[in-house]
Order: sequence, then C-alpha cells, then structure tokens
Amino acid sequence: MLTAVSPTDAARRRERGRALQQEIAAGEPPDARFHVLSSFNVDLLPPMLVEALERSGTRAEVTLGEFGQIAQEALQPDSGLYRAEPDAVVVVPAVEDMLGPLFEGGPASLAEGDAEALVDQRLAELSATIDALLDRLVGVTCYLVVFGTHRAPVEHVLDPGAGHRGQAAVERFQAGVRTLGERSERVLVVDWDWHVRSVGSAAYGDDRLWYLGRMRLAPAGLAALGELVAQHVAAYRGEARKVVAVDLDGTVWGGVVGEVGLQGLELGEEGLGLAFQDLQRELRKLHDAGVLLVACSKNNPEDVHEAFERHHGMVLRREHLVAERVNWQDKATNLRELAAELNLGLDSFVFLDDNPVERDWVSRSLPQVAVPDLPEDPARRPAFLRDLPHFRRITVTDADTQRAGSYRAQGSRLRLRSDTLSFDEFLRSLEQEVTIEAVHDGSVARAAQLCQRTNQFNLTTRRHTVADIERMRASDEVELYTLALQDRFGDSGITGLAILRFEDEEAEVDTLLMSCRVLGRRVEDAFLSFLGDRARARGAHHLAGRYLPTPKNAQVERFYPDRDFEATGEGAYRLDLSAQAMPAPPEIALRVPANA
Amino acid sequence: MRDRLRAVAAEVFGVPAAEIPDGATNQEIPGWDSLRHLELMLAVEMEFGAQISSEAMPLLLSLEVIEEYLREQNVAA
Repeated sequence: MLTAVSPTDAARRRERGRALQQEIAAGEPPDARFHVLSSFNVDLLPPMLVEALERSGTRAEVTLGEFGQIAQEALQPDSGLYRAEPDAVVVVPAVEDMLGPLFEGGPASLAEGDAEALVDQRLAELSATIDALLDRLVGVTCYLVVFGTHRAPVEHVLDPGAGHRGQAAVERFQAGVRTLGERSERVLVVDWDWHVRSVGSAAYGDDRLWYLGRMRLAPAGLAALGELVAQHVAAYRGEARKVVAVDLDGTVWGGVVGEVGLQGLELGEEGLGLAFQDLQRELRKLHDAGVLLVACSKNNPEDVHEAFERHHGMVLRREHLVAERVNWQDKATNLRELAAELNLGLDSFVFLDDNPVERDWVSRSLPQVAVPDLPEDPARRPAFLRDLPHFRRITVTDADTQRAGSYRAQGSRLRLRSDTLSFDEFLRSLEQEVTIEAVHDGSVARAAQLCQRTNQFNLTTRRHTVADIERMRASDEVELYTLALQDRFGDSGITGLAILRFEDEEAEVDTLLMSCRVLGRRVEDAFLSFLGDRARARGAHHLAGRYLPTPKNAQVERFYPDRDFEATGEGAYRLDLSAQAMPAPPEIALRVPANA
Repeated sequence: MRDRLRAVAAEVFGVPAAEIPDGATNQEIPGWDSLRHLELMLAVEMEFGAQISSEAMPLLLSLEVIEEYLREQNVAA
C-alpha cells in the first residue's frame, strides 16, 4: 500500500530532490541512471524520483524522454533513451493516452469489435516496444507502470458491462499491461492503479494541469509515483529483512498466559481476539513467503508450549518457528543468540513487541535490528504489519518457500554434529551430494537473489542483478554456476554461486558465495575444485581470486591463502594450476554439468 | 503579501529572493519558464490557500499581477 502524499509533502520532497540532483551532478558518479518514458508530461517528476530513490538507498540520476513518444524512443537506435545509457527505464503508458480514440470519441464512435481490436493492437505495440528496449539495452531493468484512470470513457452510462461505457476495454488493456511482466525477468510491473486505490487517483490529478501542461499527475501524485517506483527498486535489490522476532504475551495473543491461563487469553473469533488472530495470520503469510519466524518472549516455556499446542484460537504452530527464546533473559541477549544460532546478522531482524520498554531496550542495545512502533491498539496491528516496508519483495521463489524447512533441518544437523565422533565421520554421515549447474533461465532470479542477500561467505560481495547476470550469460568470456546441496535431511536448493571470467591464460573468480546454511561442510572446497577443473578445461594456467573485505565477510578473509593460493597484493590471489591438483573432498558426491 | 510571494517564487525558481524585483516579469527572471510557472501557481495556491483558475494561470506573469489577482479573490495577505 502507498500512504497518501499531501501537496506539502510533495513540495518538501521536490525541494530536497532538487538539492540532491545538484549534489549528484557535482559529485561521484550516481549508483544508477533512470530514464523515464511517459505518455504524458512528467517534467516535474525527476526531483521527486531522485528523492524517493535516495531515501531507499539509491543515488540516481533521472532523465526524461519526450512525452508521448514511448515507442519512438524505444524503436529508434539514436533516440534520447539510448543516448542516456540508462540502468533502468521507467515506462508510464497511461490508459487514457494509449486508448485515445476510445476516450475521445467514446465507444459509440467505434464499430463493433473495434474497441477490443484497438486494445489488442496497443498492447502488441507496447509489448514490442518493451522487447526492443530490453533487446538493445542488455543490462537494463524496466519498471512498467500500470497507469489507470478513475473515469470510464463514458461515465454517465453506469452498467460496467455496457459496451457504451467502455470500461471493459479499459480493464482489458490494464490486465494486458500487468501480464507484460511475464515477458522477462527484467520487466517489473509497478501497479500504480492498484496501489493508488487507498487514496484515489482523482486526488492526485488536476484537470487544470492537464489542459495547461498535459500533466496527468499533480506534484503530490508525482511524489507518490516516485515513492512507489522506489519501493519496487528497493525490493528488486533484495533489501528485505529475513527474520521476524515476535514477542508472545500481548502481541501474538491478548493477555499474559502465565497470569490468566489458557482460557483467559484474548484470541479467537470473538471480538478483539480476532485482531490477534489476524496478526498471527499475517505472520503466517510472512512465513510462507520465506521470512523466518522466531519467538522471543519472557515466559515459562511450559505455559507457552501449552498455548501453542492446546489453544483453539492459535493460527501459528510451533513448526512455523525456526527458533525460540522463551526465558527470563533480556531480549537483546536473546536476539544476539538467535542471530548466532541462525547464522544471520542482526541487521536481518525485525523485532515486534507490544511493550514500548522492550522495544526501546532492543533498539538502544541493538541498533541494527529494525524495531517498528507497533500500534497501541491491537485492532490497528494487522494492517500495520501488512504495510511494513521491511519485508517487501518482488515475488516469492521456491527457495523462499523452502527456507524455513531448510533452517529447521539445520537444527537437526547441528544436534547430530554434537553426537558424532569425528568431523570426517559426521560429514560422511550426512551423505552430501553437491549439484553444480550452469546458470539457466530458471535459476537466474535465484542467482541474482543470492548476490543481493549473501553477506558472510561472499568473497567479493558484488551485487549483480538479474540484468547483470543476463549480460554475463551472453558473454563467451564468462561462465556462471550455481551449487545445490542435498543431504539425508533434505534439499537445501540452490545455495551457492560462482562466476568465472576468462582472460588470456587466467581464469578469475569474479564471484564466489555460499549461503551460511551449508558452510563448514567442505562444500566450498568441492565448488573451488570444480572451478579449477573449468579453468583447466578452458586452457587457463592460473586461477585468480580476490577477497574484497566488507564489515560482514571477515570469515572468508583467509579463504584463498588457506588453500595454497599465492598472494599477489591488495587482496588478490593466484593459484598455479599446473602445480596444484585441488581434488574435491572425498566425502562429497559431486554432480557437474555434462559439458564441463 | 509581496514578500511572501517573493519567497515562494524564489523557492520555485531556485534563486535568492533579492533577484526577483517587484516589477520583474517572467521574461526577466532566469528559470521562469512555462513548467516553473505551473509550479509557481501551485505553490502560490498552497501558500495562500487560494484557487487560481486555469484561465488566469497563463496571465499571472509577474509578482504584481499575481498579488492583484489574489486580492481580487479576497485572499487574505
């Protein structure tokens, strides 16, 4: 949902946006260049978009195409679009512009069937336009805005199905635009039409600006559009938090279970009990989308377990929790322990607690943890949770839906590890099978997601996007491989990525990363051994690698030297492939692509 | 009213208020183009809680004329 933007907010954002534009133009190169192609005049948009992007972590430069020339810009190789060399293109095809004849003359001016034909023809044009743009700009991401209207072509005919009203044709066009996202991983549909519902598109327009300047959005509308695009950019960059840590008493159910007992809890279909239940439903949806749930409560574990197992109103089950800390320790300590147990940074956590004192303590002692101010009124909390920005993502992948299961299996693995005699025996007992595959259409999204999310076991922390990966796939000098791991507890799915660049007689590891879930089991050695084999197969004499330090990847600082790579300065390392064999660890079964 | 108008205009055009003399029209002020003019009209509406008609907008091309229009609309200074 998009919160309403007032004209005063818009003026403030424009002011700040203009200052940022000057600062960015004068300083370091921007993180990204955005080019906007719109069917109507959006000359006032750039400062608003720059401001919204900056707030969500992207310093961008924004350029505009001539309005009303979306197709021309995309189809002519020497247009402003291509001269701008953008990293992202925002396309805004307003339905009123795209279906001009329908709005101007009304459906009655068209012969039967012509409204539909017009819609289909415009959709085909738009789709060809987007294809051309993606084709010519290999690395570009396209944000396609579904820009609707609150006016049917003939508003005084009321029946939505009446041909004379023209509403069906408008809806057919909008539905068609929404499906254009299926054409490529690089097209992200920004559904302005939907997100603007809470405010109303009429509130963001101004007929005077349309007639005097061919603008369909007043400044407040442009600020809201900039905000919505920026939300999608941030979600695409994979900045969603991974864990939600929830308090129980007063948060997940009403009342203190240790005091009022099971029957005294406010939770269920009656009255406010439904608000607590709905909050649990929202948490459950986060779980299903791949966010890890952990409980962090000051309580007796027996009371809590009884509530989970026996209260008829519970939507959440203990199996939805990947970890729990139900004790009398302070919550900051509990969160630190949970982070260590899950092998995740505290900056992956969102902490939900109804008690402002606990929130204050956690946010003071652990500033990395996001601590939203849960509303005092339980009735407002389900909507509050739905609108939290921390969990926004573009879509849900298989890896997301399997994540919780995989973390739970890791718990069992850890327990197994402590019972086992030697580390080698432990590894053998896991029956590990590593599958390495070249990145393909079906794994591009996951590969990019790993680049965005992996912080700890990541040698170079290069945040490649889908577009970057597509570009590398198209090159003969680059090979990209994913790694998946299976063991007797289950399938971890794709949890590793390596990118190898070939130049002369050297193969350089551009990227080598693995999810923390599979570390400490020699899987990384299996991967490196495979990369050595690839390098040899391509005739390279050396395998080169690099360690680029970040605040989070100290654990791989000695990755290359520990494997007999020779330091060549500034975090660069090199291995002589003729002198070193680099065999794969014997306790891992390795499946590699047939051509490799 | 004139000083408030001048401050609003200075912010919209991104120039110091001193560079917008009383009698100056859009021809003389750098940055006062048709786009900025619409922005100025919206900013004036916001500052004074006024409504400017689309017919008047293209004509209000100096601070004096804007002030006159606002007074005709009985907008309080």
